[in-house]
Amino acid sequence: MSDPLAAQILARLSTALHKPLEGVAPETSLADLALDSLDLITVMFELEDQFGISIPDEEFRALGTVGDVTEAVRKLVAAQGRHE
Amino acid sequence: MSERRVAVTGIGVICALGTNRTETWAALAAGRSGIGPIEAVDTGRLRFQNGAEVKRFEPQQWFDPAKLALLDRFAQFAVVAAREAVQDAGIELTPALRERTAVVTGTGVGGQNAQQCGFEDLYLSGRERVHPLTIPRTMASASASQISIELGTLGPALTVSTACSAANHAIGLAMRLVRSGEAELALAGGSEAPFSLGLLKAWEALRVIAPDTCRPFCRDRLGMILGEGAAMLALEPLEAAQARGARVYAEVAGFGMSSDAHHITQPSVEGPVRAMRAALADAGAPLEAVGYINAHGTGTPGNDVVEAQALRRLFGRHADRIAVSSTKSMHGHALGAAGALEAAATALALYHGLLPPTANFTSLDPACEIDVIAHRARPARVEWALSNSFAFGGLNAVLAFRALA
Repeated sequence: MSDPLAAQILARLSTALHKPLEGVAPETSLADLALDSLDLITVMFELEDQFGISIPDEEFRALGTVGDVTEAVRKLVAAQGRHE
Repeated sequence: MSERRVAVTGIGVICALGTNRTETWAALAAGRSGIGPIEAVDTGRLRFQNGAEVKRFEPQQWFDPAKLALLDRFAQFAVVAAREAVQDAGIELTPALRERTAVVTGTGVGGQNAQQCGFEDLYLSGRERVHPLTIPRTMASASASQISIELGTLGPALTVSTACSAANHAIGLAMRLVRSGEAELALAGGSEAPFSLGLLKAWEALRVIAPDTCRPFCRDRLGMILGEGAAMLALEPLEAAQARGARVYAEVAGFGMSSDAHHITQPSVEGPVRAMRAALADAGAPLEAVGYINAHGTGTPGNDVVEAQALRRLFGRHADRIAVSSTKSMHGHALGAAGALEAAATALALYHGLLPPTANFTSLDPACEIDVIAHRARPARVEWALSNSFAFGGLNAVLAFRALA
């Protein structure tokens, strides 16, 4: 995976699940990773801290795939850059 | 001693719908929600703005200053509701009865306002000490203690803390104390006062609070709305209540408990099914007798669909003939007080022959195949009703109520 942000997020997910993740594509659903709601809340909390962003509940509820997480973070990081 | 039937003869309530039973029932019967913008806390630092707070409550009007100094808001609510329950029951607390009166209260977090004040002094203001009454105000069992001190009751007194099932566990255990003959009167219920910044931020972090309102079982539901308050029931042996000519709202006929052994926040279908089945077995009621269920119905995407599945799993086709509502749409989710507010609502519903609705209703989630009473209360003479509480951590407690003609 050449996308550094996607790689960082995959690493977070891997830590949350306590196992290496292989064969995960952006289309992979979070449910298929056996990531439950508390795991996801915790991962997003850590990503908010890491990138200094705040993911609104509305966007959080729309997260279905690994790619959704990456794009949500990317969008918020970019928006933050524009405000600085 | 043979087992005795247990009656609800007194109800005391304080919640977002009113500071007494009459106001609260009027709102429940009218389908009027108490949800609105939170006033106790500056919501500028929160992702959500709405709650179901107790309004028009001036503690100084209810307690003298010396007493008030000892009471966190959650204990104030508990005492206010207990006073009303005893007064409503019209029972004289003679010295002999005081010896045989139990107090069983539920709470999720106890006096956390007092605890937060102590932490603010210590961590924020840099003080070297906290108020000496911090512990007596904070302890979860202060509600039971303060009720027993206020009323002079001398029998068993205890507090149950099982998150959102706490009040149902408290009422169920109290019913069994009366049923078994260990107590002649019990004051049982729950109280909660969760509107402090620290606790609201903790709920925010769980991402389960709706940005608008609480819409249980609706397709577009977005989560729960926190509430506060207390309700206390006066429970006594049915025979004794009838002998003294007391008004009986309903019989607490059964109590069922179970544990999911599954997940610390996600609900399961099987645990609730086992608790409901246990409550009906305890009551000796057939499944087909149930006509109304006051649902746990938090309005979160997860709870409501699982609860609807549990009703379907247990009742099968009879689920079509059970009217269901979540009064949390009106009084909010008052956590450790929730079961008590809902037990009060259920007993009053049986007594008045009027089933309170689910407010804020839009359209039924097709995944919830149940008959939800929407918007307006439904007149119905129902003999048997359940009041469900399914807490975080899979701790389930269900009360079975029976109407008395």
